[in-house]
Amino acid sequence: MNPLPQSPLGPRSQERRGSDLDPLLRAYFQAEMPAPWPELVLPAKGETANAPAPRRPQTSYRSRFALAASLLLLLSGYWLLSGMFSSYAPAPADQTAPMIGTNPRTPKLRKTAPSARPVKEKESRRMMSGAMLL
Amino acid sequence: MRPGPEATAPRHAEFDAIYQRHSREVWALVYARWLSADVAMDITQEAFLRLWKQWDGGEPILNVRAWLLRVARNLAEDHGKSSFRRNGTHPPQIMNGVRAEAALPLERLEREETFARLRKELNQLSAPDREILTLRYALDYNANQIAELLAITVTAVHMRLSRARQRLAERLTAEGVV
Repeated sequence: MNPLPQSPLGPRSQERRGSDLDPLLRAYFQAEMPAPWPELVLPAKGETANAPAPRRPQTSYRSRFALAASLLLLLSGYWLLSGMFSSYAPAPADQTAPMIGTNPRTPKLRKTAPSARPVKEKESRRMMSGAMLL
Repeated sequence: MRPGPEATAPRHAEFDAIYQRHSREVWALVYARWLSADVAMDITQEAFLRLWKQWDGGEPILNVRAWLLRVARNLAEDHGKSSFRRNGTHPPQIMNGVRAEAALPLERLEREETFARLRKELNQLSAPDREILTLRYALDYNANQIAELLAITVTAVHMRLSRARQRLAERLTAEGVV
């Protein structure tokens, strides 16, 4: 029976190695830590909170001004143009002139009165009674 | 309402007490991320400066320790994003290898060499492994303290610590460091 392949470091030896590491790791990390520990230098009182807010760059002000001016120009132009053409009124239509789209040679359709249908019915009834008499 | 001048001195003293209490923990967590004492100290100072600004602005912070650790972790990640710009074309490994021209005493030289190899192997470990080793050996924290800081169980701390040590031991043995 073949034995299972063993790790070069068995659990026991790994633990021992791990514990051997303790002095090395402690020395390493202690050497890395700053000594003496530096003091924190705080800003002077109110330096952060009382400090004036940073000024916006001037380009922002200029761009806003340009936007406002262009809007003003647009509105005033609109009002000016609408004022110029407010007196315009369309010419009254000429009643005698022929209407566009109508043929002057064709007779105008006679408007039928709303009572045309009952009259037609009476006539047809009369014609039917005449035919019956014949 | 802003505190008057008579209230500033106690505030400074209180803040200094917080700094003394938590700055090493903050440093250790950032150090575990980048394995650079200088970067860790810079980020620690920055985290405390931000905390002071919050205080100065009158914004209340309920859990100062948790706030500091969160800010420090974020700053450490931001440092990673901008590290190329800071280091130029040289990776941190090369920059860490730059030394003074003056000759070192032999013992110190050997020690520095061992530490450099150890740092290299630590860098190959996962971030949680580095974190737990740093808290254990840099701050000399016991399992309970580490468990409280990392919000895990004591059993998990023992397990993680043991595994991290084993992994590091395997690497160091393979490299012939120990």
